[in-house]
Amino acid sequence: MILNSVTVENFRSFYGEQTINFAADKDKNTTIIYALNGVGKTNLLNAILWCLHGEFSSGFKNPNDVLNWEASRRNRKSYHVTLQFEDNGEQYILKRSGGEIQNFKIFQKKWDGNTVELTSSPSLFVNSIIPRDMAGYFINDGEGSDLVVEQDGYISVRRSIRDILGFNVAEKTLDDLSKIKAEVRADLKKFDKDSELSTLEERIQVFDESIATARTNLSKNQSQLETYEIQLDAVEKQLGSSSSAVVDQLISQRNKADKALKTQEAKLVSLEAKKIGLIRDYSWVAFAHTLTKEALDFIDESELKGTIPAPFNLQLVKDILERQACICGACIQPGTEAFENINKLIGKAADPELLNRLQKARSRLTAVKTLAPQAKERIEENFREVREARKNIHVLQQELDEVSVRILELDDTNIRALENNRKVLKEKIRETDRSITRLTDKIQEHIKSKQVFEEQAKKIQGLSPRAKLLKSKIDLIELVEVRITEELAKSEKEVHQSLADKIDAFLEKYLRQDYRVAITSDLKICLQDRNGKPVPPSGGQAAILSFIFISSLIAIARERRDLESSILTPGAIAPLIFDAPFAKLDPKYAPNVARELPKLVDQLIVLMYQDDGKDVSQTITSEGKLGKEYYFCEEIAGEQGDVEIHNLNFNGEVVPVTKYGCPIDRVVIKEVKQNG
Amino acid sequence: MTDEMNVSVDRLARDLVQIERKSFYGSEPERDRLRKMRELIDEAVKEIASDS
Repeated sequence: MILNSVTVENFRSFYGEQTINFAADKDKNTTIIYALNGVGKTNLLNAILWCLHGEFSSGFKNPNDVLNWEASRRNRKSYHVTLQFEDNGEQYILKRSGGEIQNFKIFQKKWDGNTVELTSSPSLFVNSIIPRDMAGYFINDGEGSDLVVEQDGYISVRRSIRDILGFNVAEKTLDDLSKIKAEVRADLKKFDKDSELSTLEERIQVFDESIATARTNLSKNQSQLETYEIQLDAVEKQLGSSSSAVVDQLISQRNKADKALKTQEAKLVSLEAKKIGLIRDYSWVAFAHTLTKEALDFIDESELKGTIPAPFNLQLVKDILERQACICGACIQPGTEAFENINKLIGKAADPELLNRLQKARSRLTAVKTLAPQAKERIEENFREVREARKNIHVLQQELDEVSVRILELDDTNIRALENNRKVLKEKIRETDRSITRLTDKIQEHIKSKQVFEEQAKKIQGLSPRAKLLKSKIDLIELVEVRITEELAKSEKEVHQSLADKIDAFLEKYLRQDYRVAITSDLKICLQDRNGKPVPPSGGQAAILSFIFISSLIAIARERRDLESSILTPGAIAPLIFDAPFAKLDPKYAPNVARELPKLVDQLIVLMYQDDGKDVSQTITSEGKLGKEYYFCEEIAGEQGDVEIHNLNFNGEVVPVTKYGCPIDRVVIKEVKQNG
Repeated sequence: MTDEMNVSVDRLARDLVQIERKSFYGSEPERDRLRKMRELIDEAVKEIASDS
C-alpha cells in the first residue's frame, strides 16, 4: 500500500476539507509534516488510522469528541476522512464518516477515471492490505510507547512479533476449537451410558490442561533462565573489565576453576551414564554367578557318570535299522537277533541334538564364569572414578566459594555490588534449572499417563454410532489444533533468527559499535552498552531501541507480504508514519537514523517540529529522499498579546506557524514549495 | 496418519482459520462464526468416515 493522499474534513483541529498529497515516488519517498506540539500531528496520524480501521491510537485523547469545534458550532454533525492509495498496481479510495452519519466505503478507480464501489466487505478488504493488528506498528504515535519494559529491563516483543506474523486469527481459532471440543465432550456424555468413555475423556482433558499449564510454565522458566544467563554474562564482563590487579587475578582464578568444574561435571555425567551401561551389561553376570557354578558342576558330573551314553549315536543306530545293513556291510534283517540287539540301543543312544545343546549351554555358562571377575573389576573402577569426580567437584566448588568471599572482602563498593549480583544470579539460575527439570519430568509423565487413557478409550467397544461419531469429532479437532499450534511455533522460531539478523544490521547502520541488543529465544530484547551493561530503557536509547525494533518489524512484515500460509495472515507493505521520531534522539545518532529510515520502507511520512540542529531534513534532502513537505499553521481568532510567534524557515523563506487575529480557530495545512 | 487424512486435516485447519478471519476482520457477524465452524467439522468427520 502506498498512500497518495489524505483528506480530512472537520476532523478534530482541521476545520473544513483539507488535503495532503504524500510523496509516493519510489526514490523520493519521504514526506515531512512540520507542526508545533499540540497543533494536530497526532490528529492527522489518527485520522489515517481511523479511516483504515475505525480505531484510534492509545495516545489519542477524548476519542468520542472528534468533530471539529468550529464545525460543531456551525451545526455540522459529521466528520470525514478520505484516503487515496495504491495497492498492487490498483488505485483505491477509502472513505469513512463519523458522527451523525456513520459510513465506510471503498471505491476502485478505473483506468478511465471512473470509480466503482467495491461491494465486498470494506473492512475485510482493508485488512487484507494492512491488517488491523499490524497497523499500529506502521502508524506509530510515539517513541517506543507500545514497548512495555519488564522489571529486569527486558522488553517483551513477542506480542508485536505475533501481531506482525498474523498470529491473532489463528490463536482465536484455537480458542474457538477448544470451546467446540468442550461442547462435543458434553454431548458425548449423554450417549455414553456407562460413562466409561466420558470418564476417560475427562481424565484426558485434565491431563491436557495440566500439560498445557506445565508447558506455559516451562516456557516462562526457559525464558527466565535465558534472561538470567544474559544478565550473568553482562555482570561477569563488567567484573572482568575491572582495572584492579587483585580482582583480575581472582577472576582469572575463578574462570580457571569454573572451567575445571565444568569439565569435572561433564565427566561425572559421562561416568554416571557409563555406570548404567555397566549395570545393564554385567548385572546378569552377578545375579547368575551361583547358578552358573551349580549348572556347570551338574553338566560335568552327568558326563562323568555316563548318564548320556556318548559312544552310540542315535542317528547311526536308526540308519542301520532303516537300511538293514551294518557299517561293516553285514546284512541286518528284521527279526534277527542282531536286529533286535541294535534296536535295543535306541533307548540308550545319545541324541546328537541334545549333546549339541548341552555343549552350547556349557560354553555360555563358562563365559559367564569368566566374565564375573571382569565385571567386578570394571564396576569397581567406575565407582572409584565417580567418587573421584565428585570429590574434585566438591574441591572446585569450595575454591569458587572462597574466590567469591575474597572478592566480597575487597574495598571496592562497585566490585562488591557486582559480585553480590553475580551470586544472586547464579542462585536464580540454579533454581530455575531445577524448576525446568521438574517441569520437563512432569510433562513427560503426564504425556505417558494421558497416552494410557487414550489407549483405553480407543479399546472401548459397544458405543452407539452417534457416540463413535462424537469421539471421531474430538479426535479430528485435536489433530487440527496440533496442526495450527505447530505452524505457529515453526513461524515464531523462524522469525527469531530473522529478527536477530535485522537488529544486528540496523545496529551497524544506526549506532556503529556503541550498543548491542540481547535477544532471548522467546523474543525479549534489551539494549546493552559495549561492556554488556543493560542500558535503562528510557530517553534517547529507548528511542533507538524503538527505531531498531519498528524497522525490524516492518522489514519482517514486508518479507511476509506474499506468504502462502493458510494459517497465518500475510504481512503487509504500508507507509511508515512516525510521530516525532527524532525528538528524543541524541544528535549523534539522529542523522544516521534519518539517512537509513527512508531506505528501509517503501514510503515514509514523518510528523515533527524543528529538528533542533539534528540535521534530519537536511540529511533526508541530501540523500535525495525528500519528496514533499507540509506544515500546519495554527490560525487563532484571539489577539497575539505577548505571545511569541513561531516561524519556520524553508529555503530561506520564513513562514509563521501561528497566526493571531484570524476569523476562526483552525489548523491550516500548507505545502512547502520544493526547489527545482 | 494417512496422506488423505493429512490433507483433510490441513484443509479443515485452513478453512476454519478462514471463517475466523472473516469474523475477526469484521466482514461476517460474530454469532455465525461458531455455527459455521461446527458445520465444517461435522462435514469433515462424515467425509473422513465415508472415506475409511
